[in-house]
Amino acid sequence: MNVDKRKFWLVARKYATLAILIVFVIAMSLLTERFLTFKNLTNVGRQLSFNAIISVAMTMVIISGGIDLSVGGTVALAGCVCARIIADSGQILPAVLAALAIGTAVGLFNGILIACTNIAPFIITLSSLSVAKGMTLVFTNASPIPLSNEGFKALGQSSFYSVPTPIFIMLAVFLAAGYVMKKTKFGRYIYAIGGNERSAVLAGISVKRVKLAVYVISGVLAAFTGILYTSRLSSGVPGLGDGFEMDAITAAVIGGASLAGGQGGIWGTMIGAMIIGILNNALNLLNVNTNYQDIATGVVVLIAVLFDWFIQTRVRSDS
Amino acid sequence: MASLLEAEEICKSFSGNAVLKNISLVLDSGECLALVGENGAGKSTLMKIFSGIYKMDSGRLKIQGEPVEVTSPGMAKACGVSIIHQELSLIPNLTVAQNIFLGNEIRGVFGIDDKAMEEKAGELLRELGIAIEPGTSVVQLTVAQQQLVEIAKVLAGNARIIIMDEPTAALSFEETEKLFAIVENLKKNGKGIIYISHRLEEIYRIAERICVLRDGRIIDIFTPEVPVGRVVEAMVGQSIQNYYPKQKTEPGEVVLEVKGLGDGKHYRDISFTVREGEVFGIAGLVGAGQIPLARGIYGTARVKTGEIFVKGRKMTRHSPKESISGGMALVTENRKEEGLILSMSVKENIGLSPWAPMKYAGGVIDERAERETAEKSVEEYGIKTDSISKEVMLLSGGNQQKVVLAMILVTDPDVVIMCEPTRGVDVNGKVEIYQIINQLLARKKAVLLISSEIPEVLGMSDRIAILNKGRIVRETEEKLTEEEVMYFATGGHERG
Repeated sequence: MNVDKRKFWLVARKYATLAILIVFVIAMSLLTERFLTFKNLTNVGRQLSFNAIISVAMTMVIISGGIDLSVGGTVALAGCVCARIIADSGQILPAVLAALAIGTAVGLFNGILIACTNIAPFIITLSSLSVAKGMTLVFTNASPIPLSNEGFKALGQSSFYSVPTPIFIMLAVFLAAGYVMKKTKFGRYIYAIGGNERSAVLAGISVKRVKLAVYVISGVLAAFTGILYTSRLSSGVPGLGDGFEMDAITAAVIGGASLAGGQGGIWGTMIGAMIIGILNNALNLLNVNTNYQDIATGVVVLIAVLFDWFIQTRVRSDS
Repeated sequence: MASLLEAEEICKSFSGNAVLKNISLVLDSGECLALVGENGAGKSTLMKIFSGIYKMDSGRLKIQGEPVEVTSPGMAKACGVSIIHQELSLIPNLTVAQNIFLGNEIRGVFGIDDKAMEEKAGELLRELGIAIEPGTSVVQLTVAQQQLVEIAKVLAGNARIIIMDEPTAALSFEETEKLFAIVENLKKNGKGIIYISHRLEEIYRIAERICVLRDGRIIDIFTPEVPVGRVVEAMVGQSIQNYYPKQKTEPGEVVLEVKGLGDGKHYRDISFTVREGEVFGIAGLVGAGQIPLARGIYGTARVKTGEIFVKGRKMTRHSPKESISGGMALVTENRKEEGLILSMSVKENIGLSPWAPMKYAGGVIDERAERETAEKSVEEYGIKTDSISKEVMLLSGGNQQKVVLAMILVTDPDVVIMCEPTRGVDVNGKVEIYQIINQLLARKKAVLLISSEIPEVLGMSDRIAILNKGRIVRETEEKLTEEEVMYFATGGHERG
């Protein structure tokens, strides 16, 4: 295969998900006039913003060659701790800081074990997921913590010019992460470690430190999502975050992240998260039974990875 | 009776390069045929054709007079051809018996009958005189024991033609003796053995005929009555002198000093120095300990004894980070596994090292510096790529290797350790890499050149050391001939 054709396929991969998203949007606006309205779009945006923020961190973890299954547990634990402190003291700042500290702690726990042992990240984060979920249930007695603090509600429920705040936060996280991944040494090292860890070690990169930082970022962003969600719901919900890890992995994979590491990007993940969000919204608008949503998501993921496989076999056929 | 194996006019080429040219040979039952030749002579390609891993372009293969077509390893096995690779292929977490019967397990009423397999495996191992319990799991075995299990596995599959690729590379003296006893036993039972080895003294002991391969052709087939010198001559052929454009520079201060280095396993008691503007070559056969030695010096593998000094400073932590900041750089022997990030661009690879000459504030990449460094390297080392943003995955082997060199040279090292720097690089690329070595010398760098291609070491080094089984057996400034080096590298001095 000649080089030009390979190049074509690499470019094709880059824009394929964007093309799918556009086709989706066009198809939906033709199918129902309720889709392309300001109200519906901001609604979709708010719904997907929570998953999208976690997906950003998940993308960084996946590009580094790892996985973080613990995010769902961190969301629940951080959200409930935050709610408890606000409900008891009425103070917002200490509650938020405590929640973020929990995220940092989970991230450190995962990161230290993953960086210093060769135990699979899947297993380590699976166990911390379980521990975090369990701790949430123990300390909340499995019952929700209702909130009435108006200041805290503003975080997840307010709007600027009729655009919900979580959308702005999501965009800020996307831009920051995109910058880090593309323009900083740290981001470059994440790609390098996922692409070939042996080479990265031999080049003198502090592989352990980079890995540790990636898991801490993942923990902190998960905790932040927990705070945001709790504010949105005006309640600390112990069961919050169930399955968030899978949604985040789904968005990253649709966006082109390879679970083998070294490939993917924040931009792709953003499109991936949007495809999932719009897909769910579309099925709602078309009055499709919600049970079909999972099937549809599964099919989209399968199409995305099959397309990846198709391109990989073409790009690598010679080497 | 027809011969066990007959190969007729086998040809094979890879992307236009003819690797095998009209190979015809015969293996009789009860015979051990040794196959010798330098690296790249075509030995492994030929064996991969026999064992169904590669498909020949043209030619015929007959087994016991019957023409066969072997297009997959499974078909080769069905024809009775089995290969024992240098890299072992046992599954570590299964038992010896489970490995031996992998793929044709004995079934009882309740599925796989482990007990029956262990019994049968035990019988087989006893027949071969191998003292290993069939119930132990393979992880617990030494490399040598695994090698013996591998042979048992091949025999359990009723192989008639057994190919052994450097079977003694990891074996001790006693274990080698045991292997030879097994080979003799196999010969008595009418099996045919193709034995690939660099160790001529072994070949002289067990082989009936010695087939010399060079540049994809069979040069000659000898019997062990012929003196070693003639075999070596046939292997080496005429060496091309001006192929190596080595420039002489006046050596300066000592940059790298290694004193009494040993890792307790692959090499021991290694001492040498490398000076500014000098290439110090280490020659040795594959597996003589040179690669672990390079890793030990650079700090990616543990050392047990000895000291390393770079410009008089002692290396204490033995880590790549310390080595790089001390002024060392390593070119590994496999650029794809440990060198490049294949999915990244030329530019990103060259600028990857934290020691690359780029000032950046707050961890932000200085894109201009990155681009300029990459452009300068591309020009300086003649990397052929249509853009510095191209993924290195898409470059040729020679150009990938030049990117590896650029990657480490931007850190401005004082001493560069090169392991097999021209492996998988075509002829023109090789000469270009030698030119880069010359450039380094002109810039007063010290180069430690480690290669199993003896002509390369001879052609590019100012001084050489010859390694045999982990020890330096000769260090000299004299210009030795390839035959002399081979003599020492194969342990010739031990024969007297």
